[in-house]
Amino acid sequence: MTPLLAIDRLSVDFRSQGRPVSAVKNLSLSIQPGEAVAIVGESGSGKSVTALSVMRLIEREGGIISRGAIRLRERNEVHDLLQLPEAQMRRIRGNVVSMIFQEPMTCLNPVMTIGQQLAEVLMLHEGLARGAAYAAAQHMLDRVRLSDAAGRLKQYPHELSGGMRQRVMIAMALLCRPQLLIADEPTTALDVTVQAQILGLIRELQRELGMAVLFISHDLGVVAEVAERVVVMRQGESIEENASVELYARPQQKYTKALIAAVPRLGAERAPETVPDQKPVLTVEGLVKRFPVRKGPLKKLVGHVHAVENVSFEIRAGETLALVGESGCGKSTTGRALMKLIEPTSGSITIAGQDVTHLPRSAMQTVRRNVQMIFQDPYASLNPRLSALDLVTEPLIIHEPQMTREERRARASALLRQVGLDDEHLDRYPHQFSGGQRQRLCIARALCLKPQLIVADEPVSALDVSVQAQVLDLMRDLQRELGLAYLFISHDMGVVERMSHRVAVMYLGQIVEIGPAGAVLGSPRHPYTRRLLASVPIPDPSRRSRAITLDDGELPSPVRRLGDDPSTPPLVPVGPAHFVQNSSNFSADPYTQGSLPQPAILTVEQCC
Amino acid sequence: MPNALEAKPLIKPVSMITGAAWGLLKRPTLPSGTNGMVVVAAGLALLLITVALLAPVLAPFDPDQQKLLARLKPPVGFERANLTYLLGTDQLGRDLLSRCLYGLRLTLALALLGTLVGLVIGVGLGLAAGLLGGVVDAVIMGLVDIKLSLPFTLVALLVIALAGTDIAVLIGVLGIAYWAHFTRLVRAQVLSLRELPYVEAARASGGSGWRIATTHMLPNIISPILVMMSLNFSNLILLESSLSFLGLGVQPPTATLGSMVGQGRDYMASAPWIVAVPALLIVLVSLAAMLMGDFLRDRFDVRLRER
Repeated sequence: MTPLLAIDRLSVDFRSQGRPVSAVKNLSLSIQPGEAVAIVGESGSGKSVTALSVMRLIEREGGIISRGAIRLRERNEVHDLLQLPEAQMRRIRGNVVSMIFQEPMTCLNPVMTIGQQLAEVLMLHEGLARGAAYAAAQHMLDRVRLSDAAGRLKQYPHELSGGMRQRVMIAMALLCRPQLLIADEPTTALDVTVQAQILGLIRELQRELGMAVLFISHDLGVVAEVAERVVVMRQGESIEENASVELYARPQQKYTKALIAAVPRLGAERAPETVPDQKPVLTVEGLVKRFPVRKGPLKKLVGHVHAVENVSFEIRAGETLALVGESGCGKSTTGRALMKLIEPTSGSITIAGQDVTHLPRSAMQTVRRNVQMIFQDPYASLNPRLSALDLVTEPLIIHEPQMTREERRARASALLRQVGLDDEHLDRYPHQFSGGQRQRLCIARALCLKPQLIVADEPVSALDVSVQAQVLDLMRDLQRELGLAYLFISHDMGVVERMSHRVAVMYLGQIVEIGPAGAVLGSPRHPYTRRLLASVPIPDPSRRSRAITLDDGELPSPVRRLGDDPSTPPLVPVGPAHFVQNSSNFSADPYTQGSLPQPAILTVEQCC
Repeated sequence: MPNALEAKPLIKPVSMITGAAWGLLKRPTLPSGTNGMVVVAAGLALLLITVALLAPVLAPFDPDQQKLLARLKPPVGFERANLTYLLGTDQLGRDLLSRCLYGLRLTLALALLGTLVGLVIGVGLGLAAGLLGGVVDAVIMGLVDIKLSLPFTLVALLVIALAGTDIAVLIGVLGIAYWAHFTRLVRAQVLSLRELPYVEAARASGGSGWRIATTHMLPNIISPILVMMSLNFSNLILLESSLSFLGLGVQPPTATLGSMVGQGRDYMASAPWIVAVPALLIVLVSLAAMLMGDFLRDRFDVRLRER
């Protein structure tokens, strides 16, 4: 049987400052009808360039297809996409091949309703009348399991959550019944539970519609959930291709092995031993942060966003506490409140024995020496106009202004060596570093004043897996050497397990479960923790039988009207240093209930 | 970068003059994107500035000296031209070349000082509004709205009527003509930069507001400021000429390019060169200002330098 899509020795070049740079080299790949094939690789490996070449959109991005052929079979006709005129190509896009992108936020037009955007596709491509197009659009929204499809047609993109928007994008891509769906990192911008839903949806739709899927991802865990065959790309070349079960079980290439080994997987690595009891570096008690919601011309206060509600924990020297949860659960707000980047509404924060909750700006200066922060996006957290030397030693300029430039230079070079960079990097600017190197710079900057505590807000989620592993190792080594305490904020359970001694799970602004990493991840007691853990993709296709049957519920909103404060049930002990929120209101919360294998409402009697 | 090395001796003195206010121009190499256009722009700017500075040496006549016998002579190359007056004479028999040289000098000085005054006021207020927020922001933006809703010519009339037609007053008037544009631009940029992690990182390290403004904000918003500066430079030349036309600018017989165009207007049909010569100079000055603005913008961007 002729394949649906056959890419034959494709080479794509980009021209950079006059020199051709090869993005894809000699790539061959074929996809049978109904087959799910994944291209895996780190950033810059040419996987997205390949996808855009199939759509013939790469020329717009400045790429030049220098060699090869891309043959697409449409019924009994085979087109060479590289020879097709643009008018024909436009018909193919959407009709035969469709694409969904990473960022569902920016792929929908914010001033058109969902219905208009979906119906437009049908009216243009299939010439349907308005009514028929709307009916078909509604049918397709049902198909992607979006609740209340008729109502959704009248809504605007901003009224939907990220997961719902990605469903709409998938619906739009499927409207014209394409034979091939190209999904370019479709779940990278989504939370882990939503990711599990979307992956499950793509798998089901592929089966239902008999459609082929070309799945592009950097995440081997995600790929294992969907692909039947995997192509590993590196620096523009395909270095290994195999059925996915075979590939994960017996990788042939060294690079593939390294890539698979670098994927953090639950249960693969024991959490580090808990450090002996010491004086806490950080104590947080009853922390609350609410943001006012105002409406109307007079900016009347109508409610609050309850970002953080009654959060208490402590961290000792040399210990890592992970704060996990999905976006909007208040974990970053907690970190920012500790840094006094935002003022907490109430509660108390004690850093190194000093209560800093209401310290004025000037007095904070000495406290800041003890606590530093690492941010998520290493591209945005370095001032592009400063050299590495100035970036790394900025805290010194602020805190020790008497230091001479030579002294600072010596300190900077020591710091760079500590994080695995060289003296030669001192005078470079951020754009001359790779993502991993930039994050190393951020770590060096955080270490500059020899702090006791570092708040790390998703420090590796913007990095490739292999780089991720290196940065995590670096952070652990530094912890051992310097006795640092980390507050490690993350949504990635695998990373959390690798890094932390203790784990606190946040849900809707509250800590619902806190305890030693082994206990919380190994025998989770709170329904939400279980849900989170069940959503983590496993980099092992043979274990895929574990059905992703999470319901399609949405996270409840943390916005509440005035006077309607959420209840904050106390944490009760369920094991040594392991506490779970004992809450009856979870039984009424459909998001954490229902879909779970066993309803786990704890009572005090059960615990003790 | 061989072409950069060749261009260096030419670029250096130009940047020293045009960028005197900017201490950042000590870098020896040009950005990698440097092309022929920059050399042309720099050459033009250098030529105009040199000529303006050397006006007393180069001018063949006193710019205000009237010779009624030599009125309305056309430039060399036209019928009835007189070789003594290379660019011809105006209705009072004043040498156009000399007037243009002195006019260029005064015009450049007024536009440059006016732009700098506007820049300092506007950028300062914009930074304050964006960084401090709250009441400060509300007051400053209120002032901006007032400024933008009043017809500026009326304000200028009032100020000059009260304070007189002194040259310092004129610079002040030109300075406050466009501060609000800078303020709005800078405030908008600051608001978007303020949320960026590197600014947060500086705040988390304990950086003061002043440090954040000067180290983290200004260098990153310099590009649009420079572009707006070069636009305002040309606008100020025109504004000065309209003030002169109303009799509020530099008082006759002192020449500025704008006032020369204004006064030559009546003779446009019979002696078009009186208008054409200074007008052409205004075009050249504006062009040079904009090209230099673009060049400086690229030069300040470390990201455009060699990786």
